[in-house]
Amino acid sequence: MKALVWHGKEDIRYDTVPDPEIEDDRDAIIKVTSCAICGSDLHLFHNFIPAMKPGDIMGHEMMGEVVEVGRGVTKLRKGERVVIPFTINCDECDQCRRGNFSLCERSNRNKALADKVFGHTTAGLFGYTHLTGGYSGGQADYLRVPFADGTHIKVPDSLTDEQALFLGDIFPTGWQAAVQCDIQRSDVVAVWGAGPVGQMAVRSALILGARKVVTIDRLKERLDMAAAAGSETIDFEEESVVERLNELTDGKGPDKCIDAVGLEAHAASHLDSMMDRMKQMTMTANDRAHVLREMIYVCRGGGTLSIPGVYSGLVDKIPFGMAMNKGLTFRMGQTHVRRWTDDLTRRIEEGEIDPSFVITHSETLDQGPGMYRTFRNKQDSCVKVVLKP
Amino acid sequence: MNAATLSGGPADRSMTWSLRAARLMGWASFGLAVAFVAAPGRIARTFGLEGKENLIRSFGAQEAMAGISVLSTEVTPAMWSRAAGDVIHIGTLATGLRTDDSRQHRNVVVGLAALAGFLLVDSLIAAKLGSERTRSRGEARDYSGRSGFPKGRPSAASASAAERQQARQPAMAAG
Ligand SMILES: NC(=O)c1ccc[n+]([C@@H]2O[C@H](COP(=O)([O-])OP(=O)(O)OC[C@H]3O[C@@H](n4cnc5c(N)ncnc54)[C@H](O)[C@@H]3O)[C@@H](O)[C@H]2O)c1
Ligand SMILES: [Zn+2]
Ligand SMILES: [Zn+2]
Repeated sequence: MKALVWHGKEDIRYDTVPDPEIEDDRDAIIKVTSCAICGSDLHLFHNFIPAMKPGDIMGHEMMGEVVEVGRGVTKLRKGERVVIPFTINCDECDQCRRGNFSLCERSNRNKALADKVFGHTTAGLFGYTHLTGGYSGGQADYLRVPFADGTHIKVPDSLTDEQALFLGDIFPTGWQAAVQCDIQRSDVVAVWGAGPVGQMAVRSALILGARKVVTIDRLKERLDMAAAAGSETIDFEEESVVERLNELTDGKGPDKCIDAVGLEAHAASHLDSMMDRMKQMTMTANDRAHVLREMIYVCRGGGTLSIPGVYSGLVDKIPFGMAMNKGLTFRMGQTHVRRWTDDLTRRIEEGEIDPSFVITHSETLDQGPGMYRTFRNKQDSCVKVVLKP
Repeated sequence: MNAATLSGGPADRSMTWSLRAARLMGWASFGLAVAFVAAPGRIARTFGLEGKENLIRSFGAQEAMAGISVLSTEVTPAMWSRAAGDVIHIGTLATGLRTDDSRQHRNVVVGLAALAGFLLVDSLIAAKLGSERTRSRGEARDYSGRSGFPKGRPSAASASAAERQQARQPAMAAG
């Protein structure tokens, strides 16, 4: 079959690879009908997440049709249409039973390594590092789904691929980011990053009743897209984020802050981010934490920082004393996708929200490597790329 | 023209020619670094730079840094700084023109020509990388119609307390 394969830093190719096969009774194979490129894929593209290996198949946002099931699979049948969550779930371990699906204790087949690196293992993830199991991803014609009974979301016939696809990652990710904020009716929620995750977080915060949402980015078309939902916007290259946020909150600061940017924060003119960039350039540090620092500084005392943005390793110069004295709450994590998807599927079906608004580019899979460039370079007003095998 | 061709390179490979060329120059930097550190005396004698061995050695460190940064994600500024390094090398090598030794003189001329070639190639790669990564290709598109709310924007009042509670504690699917 054909797949997008990671060969090294900034080197992804459309290659021919062996078809996946059932390896375990609990596996299923799906024929991928749609997949997408995520902001997390860009961190892998840039090799900021350790333990990728040449030959790894990319992709963790995908959906399709079941074409084969193992003998132990009871909840899926051939021909069914499913979205695959990016987290692999056994549905039996203690964490899965608590709904902490991104922390499944059984699905990471490199558990021993992950236990060493993280203290305790996290779930197996598709198309991600070998620290999370090194499972082949879904930017491919076919995908093997381990623990298939726990690792799928059934798609109602009434939804198109475009409407359903993001149930596997960015929609629940933006939703969880907003839920973690415990939004009250009087809250101002500030969202850093107007990428796909930020866009979903903005809409989730509005649905959950925020009084005002403010989105921060530097890309006009993305800010326009956030404004289309009813968000105020700040262009961080044109205005001071801290000043504007204080202005918009009568000097109080936002009650809740969401970091939908992660470890590749951009802010050319601030000394701290120039230092971070220098460290990345000389490969002496991995993460650029400008957004985290800005959130801690500007957030209202007693507020919450919700962090869906991905960080990978050691983060330098976090003003923890400031956070402690202001009594801030930090909530973060890879998304517990299936904890939210029944509710979110219903919301899409009822027409409360249609996540396909975010798709700006739809191409065939063979165009994928070029689309990584377009998405990374933010060219052609690209916000979200969907690929069709 | 589709979006992929827009960003300059084959669509089925993410690496453009200019990025591959930059990587090559990055590895060349490591090669030069080794030469500068391992054989500064020989280099000095070849080009009439006797007495500048320590300077040549320090170029080794500079080239190693250039190599590392070209291989990082900040490849465009790294290629420009490589080009700046070429200029410094040209300046240093040019002092060798004062030599009386005709063999050394010839070596210096050849070396200068080679360095000028490097400078040209480094600058071309840097310029190409810069242009294929700028955003300004294609008009900014209008997304003001993409609210994502088919039934209109939610109002703060429409999210009932009960619904927020449900969102916080959904029924677990597991078990
Ligand atoms: N927690 C999870 O489970 C999960 C799931 C999906 C994605 N993610 C992460 O979410 C993050 C965003 O993903 P995405 O797909 O939206 O990526 P993206 O790269 O498209 O979006 C990031 C946005 O942040 C903006 N930005 C950069 N620096 C900024 C700054 N200093 N202030 C404000 N905005 C800034 C960029 O201009 C860009 O628009 C990534 O880190 C991704 O890995 C996490
Ligand atoms: Zn993702
Ligand atoms: Zn589990």
